[in-house]
Amino acid sequence: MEASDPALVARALSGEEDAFRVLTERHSLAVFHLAYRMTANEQDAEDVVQETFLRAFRNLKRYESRSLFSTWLYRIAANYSLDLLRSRKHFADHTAVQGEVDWLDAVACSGPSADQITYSHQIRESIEKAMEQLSDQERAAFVLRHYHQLSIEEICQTLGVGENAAKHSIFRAVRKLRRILEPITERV
Amino acid sequence: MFEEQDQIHLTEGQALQILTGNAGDREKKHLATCETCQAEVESYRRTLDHVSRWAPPVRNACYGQSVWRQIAPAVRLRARCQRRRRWMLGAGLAASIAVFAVALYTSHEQRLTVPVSRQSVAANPAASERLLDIAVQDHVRRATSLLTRIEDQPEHAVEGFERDAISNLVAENRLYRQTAEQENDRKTAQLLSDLETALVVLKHDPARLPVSDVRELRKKLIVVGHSNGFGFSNISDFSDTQPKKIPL
Repeated sequence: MEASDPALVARALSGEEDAFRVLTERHSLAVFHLAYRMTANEQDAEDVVQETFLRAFRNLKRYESRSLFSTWLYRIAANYSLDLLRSRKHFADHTAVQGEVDWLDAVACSGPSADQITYSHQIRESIEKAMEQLSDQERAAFVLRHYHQLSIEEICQTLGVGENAAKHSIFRAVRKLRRILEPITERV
Repeated sequence: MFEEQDQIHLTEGQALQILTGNAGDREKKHLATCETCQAEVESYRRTLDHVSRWAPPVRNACYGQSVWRQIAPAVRLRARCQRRRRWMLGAGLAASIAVFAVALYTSHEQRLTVPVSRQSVAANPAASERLLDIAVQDHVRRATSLLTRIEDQPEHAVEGFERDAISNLVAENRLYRQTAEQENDRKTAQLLSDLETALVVLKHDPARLPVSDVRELRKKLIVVGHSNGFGFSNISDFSDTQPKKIPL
């Protein structure tokens, strides 16, 4: 039987290196997915993954088991991705152009199926271009909600914003995406 | 009046609400008869379906293991540092107590002042800071030297062996930056943060880093390194770019 995340964290804190290895191997892929959707760059995403686990190891004592370990990792990864995106803007001209809560449930989705993975390259590019046009906060909030199903409260904690700001960020993101992608989705 | 309200179209928020099946009766009733709003809701549905198909690049089943292989040396180094720090604190405390006890005993027996520092080196935070300084000094020297060489090359051409050196520098830089942040040494942390950003770009896409930025960063490393007492002012002094054993 596989050890739970909190049990592994406790073992890692007591100096058992192998426990942290298991945590790394277990969550690397999900963190990579988040990092890629945040940065839209494979190499940057790889750096985010490594940095996330190094930061997690350094701050393991601060992890509170009342939240999921994966959520805690997402928080670290999302924040580091945002730092990376901001610092990139300094070094190179990035190509980025700059009711009620129930509807937010619609924004959460399940993972891609096999046929979705093989979706055409052009379609993927169109989504990546659309995502680039979201602000950092809109993008982070949308990715966390839509692809990783974080609750609004968790998104607030991750991004350090209030509830309304988080909801509005997601709402604005969906609205922008629809505007940008409408010509394509209608064709499809 | 109710009929009049039914003619008002759904807001964007309400349209998204419809997708979850959480809309009120009034909104549902309106949607059933309003083609404009049906189209609006359908448009949102298509958008969300569409972006759901955005799959990141595929990774093989051993991806987690490869990530671990990459970070394991840094994790072990940090774990060793943490153990050493705990050990040094313990040893320092024990040494201080011992020195204090000897001094007390001597002064009591001989009524003489013992000229012994009660501060052990191990317990002295300055000693561990010095260790970090030495490591960072070595790291900054190698990074500066590398930037100098790259700056002179057309379009930042990076050789294979330099790629390895850059990868090592990135990994080391992370550790030192994190340590500096932990020690609240903001000046060093900021310097290392700037350096890390440049190194990561160099590692993946050297052409993306403008020559002016490389030059500016190199100068900054020299100036800040000098003011931090890293003890160099001329880049020709440090031609060694191969990783050295870190004195931590």
